[in-house]
This record gives sequence, structure tokens and C-alpha cells, in this order.
Amino acid sequence: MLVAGEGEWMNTSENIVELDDVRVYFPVRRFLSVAGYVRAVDGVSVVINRGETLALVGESGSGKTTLGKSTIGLVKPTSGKVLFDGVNIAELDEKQLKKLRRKAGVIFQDPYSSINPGFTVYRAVEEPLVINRIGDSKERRERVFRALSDVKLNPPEFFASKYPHMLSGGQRQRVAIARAIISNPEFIVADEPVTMLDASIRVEILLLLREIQQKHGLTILYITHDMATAKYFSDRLAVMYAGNIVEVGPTKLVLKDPKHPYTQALIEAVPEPDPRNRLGLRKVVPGEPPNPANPPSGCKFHPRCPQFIKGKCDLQQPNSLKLADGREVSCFLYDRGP
Amino acid sequence: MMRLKPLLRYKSSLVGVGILCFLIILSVYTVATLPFEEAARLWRAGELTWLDNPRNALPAWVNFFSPTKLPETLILNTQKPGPDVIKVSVRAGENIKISRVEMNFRYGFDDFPSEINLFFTSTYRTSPPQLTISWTKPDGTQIPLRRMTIAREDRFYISSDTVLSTELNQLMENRLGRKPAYTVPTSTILFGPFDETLLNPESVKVVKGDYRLSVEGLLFEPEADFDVKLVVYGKVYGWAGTDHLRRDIGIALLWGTPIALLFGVSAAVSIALIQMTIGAVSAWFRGGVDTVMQRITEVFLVLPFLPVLIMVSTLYKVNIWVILLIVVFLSSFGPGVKNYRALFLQLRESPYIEAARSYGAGDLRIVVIHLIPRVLPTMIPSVVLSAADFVFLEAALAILGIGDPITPTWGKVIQDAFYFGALFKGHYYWVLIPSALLAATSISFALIGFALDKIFNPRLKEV
Ligand SMILES: Nc1ncnc2c1ncn2[C@@H]1O[C@H](COP(=O)(O)OP(=O)(O)O)[C@@H](O)[C@H]1O
Ligand SMILES: [Mg+2]
Repeated sequence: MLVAGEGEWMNTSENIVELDDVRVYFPVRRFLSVAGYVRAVDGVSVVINRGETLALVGESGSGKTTLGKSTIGLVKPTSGKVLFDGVNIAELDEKQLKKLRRKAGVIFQDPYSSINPGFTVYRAVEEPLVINRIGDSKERRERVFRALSDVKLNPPEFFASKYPHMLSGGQRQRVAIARAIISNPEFIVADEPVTMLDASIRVEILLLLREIQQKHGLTILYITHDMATAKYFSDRLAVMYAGNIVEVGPTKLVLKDPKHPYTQALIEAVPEPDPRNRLGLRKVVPGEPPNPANPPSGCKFHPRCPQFIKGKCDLQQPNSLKLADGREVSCFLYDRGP
Repeated sequence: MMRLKPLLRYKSSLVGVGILCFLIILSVYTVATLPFEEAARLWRAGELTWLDNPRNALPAWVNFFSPTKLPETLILNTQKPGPDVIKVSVRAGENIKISRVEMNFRYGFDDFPSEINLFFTSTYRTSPPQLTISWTKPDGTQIPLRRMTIAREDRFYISSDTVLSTELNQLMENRLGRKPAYTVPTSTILFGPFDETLLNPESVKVVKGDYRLSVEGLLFEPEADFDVKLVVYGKVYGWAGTDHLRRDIGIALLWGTPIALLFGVSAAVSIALIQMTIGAVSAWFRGGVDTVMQRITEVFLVLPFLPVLIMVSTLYKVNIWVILLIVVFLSSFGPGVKNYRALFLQLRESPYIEAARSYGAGDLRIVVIHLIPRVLPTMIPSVVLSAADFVFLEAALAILGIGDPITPTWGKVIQDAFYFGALFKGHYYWVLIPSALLAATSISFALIGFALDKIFNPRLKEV
């Protein structure tokens, strides 16, 4: 079932971020020469719709963080185009980029090191406003306190004077969220925001993110390696493997009926919520993730793929195919064309 | 500022802060009361300025700790007449005038004076005054010292005059009927008893009591006049004693304090700031800039520090601030650069730096607001500690002769002491007081530095 040109109904105002064949290669230096490139992101085309939560799922090292950073210009793509709110980031100078970043916020994985340990909570949350010269100090004060109560750090006056080391991991991540939303962004990159936290508070933080998203009408790129949280938290799901997005689609559909063999393997690896099955053997995706500096030829997943087609998968790279229900998948199993 | 309060919690750092405060107060006092030009002039003035001081005198406070009291210097001057200094003039003819000077003083010390000198000034047109000088002991014995014609500026070194010494020894021989085994010093004869004990230099005692020096002057012009100054030099002076040139060592030690502190602190601070800047630039720009900086650092690391300094100071006349500049220059690419660079390289990868960039912070802001304040905690204690090193370095350079010839410093005093054999001659005070000041300074910096380290880098406490 292939419907070409399905995406044409979208226009730029609908997409907050649009990536077109983005590649990010990091040079590997040995002594003074470049010995090769790590292909952290290797040809990704994806759109993020306004107001949705897109989960980016993949194993560690698959390039999720790099892709997330490239959406807001924190890393420069080696090739390809990044449109943020319809503007090509590569064409912006430093000043314009700074202005554009005001529309975006980032929540990093490690709440212990993503806040300057020498800053009070107040200073940390206020800094984006200071840098972007938003408001006078009174106005900024109000906004900081409002953001702190938005993230449920109550009373805000109490938390404002604390240093990060006086707070728990969950509280710090709330501070990081407050800092990310302080300048009223439209788009937030949440890079594994709950991975470093205790399991008991993960849900709380995700619920908080959802609440803030609804309150402010935010678009969130939720990066995770954990299919379980992606399932509860996202509208759409993008599965990343070795620098490529192998499958994108509405979360429910993808989870119910995964098309790509890698997605299928990932979903099978999710631990059962049913406690009776907890102790049973957990399946993991068999094999090793590829070396991003020297990826396999053809489809990068083919050495681990249970449905590997010899003479095809190891020679050619599959194209992204758009399926009827708004899904895309890059796999020869669905490519009936020549 | 708030983080410095715990300094007073540690006993050791309290001592350090105490010493440092004392040194700072001493510096402020010095700068406020004795202008530098004046101190430098006094220090280089030569013996004429210091003529009234004893040579190589001990500090005065040694008398507090010793049962025998060493003499202090007594000065009697007809220009400052008083009950002890009487000058009477009588006309003895049309052109002749007789002036009689009597100087009475009580000598109550347990040791003989180190020297006795007379200084004269006189006014006349053609005929100089003629003086007859005599000495009266407490028991009334009168000893004629000399009859002399004085020039406008003249002196009579009573204790070192060889003619007088021979006469007095002869006089003594006649009195006692025995010849002493050695030439008895004039000051011993003048201040000692006229008996057998005078022959034993070890046990001879001072006769305490009222002494008198009389000068009878014959003036041959109606307008002619003269003044006399008697200096009975003691063996103690001031709080730091005097050196071989009769200079008050206290002046050099006083001025040495602000200079040592300024030298140590400014060297430490500027070197740390320069090294930090180089490290930061190296780590921030990486690539070619980094490579060049690192190679320069390596060259500087193997550059022999002392020989370069010695070479520069032999070729050029350097003052202390030029030495400071050279020290700063030679250390600016020191090992600290590598440390700071490593620190910055580690810090620049911190997620909070990336976070700052994500909400639009520029390079300058990141370096100034986020990076440098993170480095300061590790920097401040080591700066304080190294200040002590530089205080010592300045002293060591001065002792090696690589010093400022003008500025009085602790190191200069120690150098003089060594050069003129202070330890060999037993003038321990000459070396010990400046050394104690040096030690106190570095101990105070060390104590404060260690405490700051505990405060700023609390993790070290557990190690
Ligand atoms: N700044 C960088 N320099 C060199 N290699 C990098 C850099 N950032 C990421 N990489 C490499 O790119 C690959 C993808 O990294 P990343 O985007 O962090 O993956 P993920 O977030 O999915 O774990 C990894 O192999 C990583 O080592
Ligand atoms: Mg990551």
C-alpha cells in the first residue's frame, strides 16, 4: 500500500521542524589527520508537527541526541537542510540563530550536570531571559516564580535560593524544565529527561511535561531509548537505527503493528507490565549495534535482521516508503517496486 | 565574601589571618609614616647620615630578656643645651673668649659602650678655636684627653684614637705599676675602675655613676664660637638593630613588608590570571591555537628560570618591579597552563555549558560567567599558596645578588648580613629577624591557603 505524495497536504506553518536528508558526520582525528567519520546522523528526513509529541526511540549511540541538537542548530549538519519554523537554520548568522533559539528549549538527560553548580535555582532559570534581554528584573522575577510553580517547585521563593546540590534529581529536572520553558518556547527537545531519575519519579516528571505541553501548546521532541515511556507519552514515534530513521508513524499504530524488523524486535524487548511475566526471559534485540564509523553496507540493520534478503539488503539502501495510514518505513519487505 | 567567613573557623587559618593582618597593618603604617623615597634615600645615604648610630647593634628588646643591661646610645649636644649640657662663655681680653662646656651624664649600663666620638662644628674667620678636652670619672678622677685646634667641621674619635690609647695605657701603667698583657681599650679605661681588675678583659666591670666630659675652648675672635656633640655609642638600637654601616635595619625591614607582600601577591595573582587565560584560550579554541600555545608552554617549561634571571640582571640594571615582570613573564607559560587547560577542556564539555549555548549564551558569556567562576575555587587557594613562594623567591634572588640595588627589602638585608659575615661574627639578629619575617609571611599564606582549599574544595578534606 503505497500512496505517493501523501505528505503534500502539510504546509510550513503546520511543521515546526522539518529535516531534509540531514547528515551529521564527526571527524575521527588520529594524530593530526582525519582518519574517518562517525556518521552520527546519516540521511534523516522527518517532520515534527506543531503541538505534537514526537518520540525518537533507538539504542544508545544511534544518533538521537545529535539529531535532537541539529533541530535547533546546536550541531551543524554536514549536509542536508534543517527548517525551523520554515527558516533554514544554516542560512542564519549567530545573532539570528540566537533569536530563533528563543523559540526552543532543551531538557538534558543528566539533571546533575545540566545546571551550573555555582548558580542558584533562581539564577539558572532566569539566565535565558537575561541573555535574551527579556523584561526588566521585576518582570523576570515574576516569570521565574511562575515557571517554578508551573513545574511544581512550591513555594517558588523557597526553591529559588537553593543550589542544585541541595535538590534531588527529580527537583533538578524540574528546574531544568522551568529553565527550558522560561522564554515561552514553542518547541522543546527533551533528551532522555527521565533516564537518570529513579523509576518512582519518572512518571511524575512525564506527567508534568504533558501538563506543561497542554498548558502552553508546546511541541516536544521526546528522545528516549525506552519504548515503554514513548508509548505513554508520544503522539508519533520515530525509530532510529545507526543514524537513520527506519520507521515513523502514529505511536499506537506503530506499536500495534510494527513494520520494520528492528521496530518489531524493539517492541518485543519491552518489559511486560504484567508482573507475572516480569521474571520471564526478556528478549533483547539480538546482535550488536553497528560501529557508526564503519557501518554495514546496504541496510545497516541487515546483519541483525531475521528477514534479511540476500543480494538486496546487503547491497542497496532501502528508501523511505510512505504507507497509507501516515506511516513511513525504510525496508525492502514493503518495497514492491523495481 | 560569604565563603571566606569559615576561614575564621579553623584555628590554623586564624593564626594565618592574624599574622597576615599584622603584616598588612605594618605595611600600611610604613607606607603612611615613612615615604618610600625617604626610606630609599636613608638606605643608600652612607655613613654620614647614620653617624650617631652604633655599628652592628643588637635590637633594643634583647635587654628585656637579659639580666645584664647592654648600653643604649647617649648623645649630648651643645646645640640642645639642658641641665646636663652647660656652656659658659667669658671674655678674657679684647679678642679672646673662653668657652667652657660641661657634659654630665649618668652611665648605668652593665657593658662598656661600643664607641665614643666627639663631633665639633665651629665658626671663625682666620683663627680656629683651641680646645682642651678632659674626662671626669664618677670618683672625681680627671683624665686629660686631648688638646686640639679644630676645623669648621671636625671630630675626635675618642675610643679609636691611637695616640690617646697609648697615653691612657701609659697612665694606667704608672698608676698600677704593672703593664697590662694587652692594650686596654680606651672605652674600658674611661668607664672602668682604676684598679687591678682593669687588667683582665673578661671580668672588668663598668663603674656606674655620673661622668663628665669637659671642653675648654680658647676663641681668638669675638664672633668665633663652637659646638660639641658627644656620642657614647651603645650596643643596642631600635627594634631590629643596625648593620655594618650603622643603618637602622628596621627601615629596610619595615619597607620590606609592603614590598614583599606586593611582590608575592601581584606575582601570584598575575601569573595565575595569565596562565588561566592562556589555558582558557587554548581549551576554548583548540585546534591550531591550542597546539601553538602548548608548544610554547613546553619550551617555557624547559627554559631554566634562574639562569635567565641571573643573565638579565647582570646585563641590565634591574629594579624590583622589572624583576617582577621577568618572573611573571617566565612563569606565564608555566605548568599551570596545562592544569587550567585540562580543567577548561573538561568543563567546556559540561552539559550546563551546552545548555547555556542552547538558550543563546555567547562565547564570552560562557567563558566569563560559566567557566571562570568554576575554576576560581581551585585557583584561589593555589594563588595564596604560591604568593608565599614568590615572597621567598624575591628574597632568594636578592641573596643571590639578583636584586634591586635601591629598594630596601628583606632579601637585601639577609644578603648584606651574609656578605659582611654576620653569622661568622655572631650577629645573628641581622639574619634572624628578616628570616623570621619571611617565614611568618609564608606560614601565614600557607595556613590561609590550606584553609581556603578546605573551604573551596571540600572533597579534599576527606582525603
Ligand atoms: N561531538 C562529537 N564528536 C564526535 N563524535 C560524536 C560527538 N557526539 C556524538 N558522537 C558520536 O555520534 C554517535 C551518536 O551519538 P549520540 O547522538 O549521542 O547518540 P545517542 O544519543 O542515540 O546515544 C556516537 O557514536 C557518538 O560517539
Ligand atoms: Mg543521547
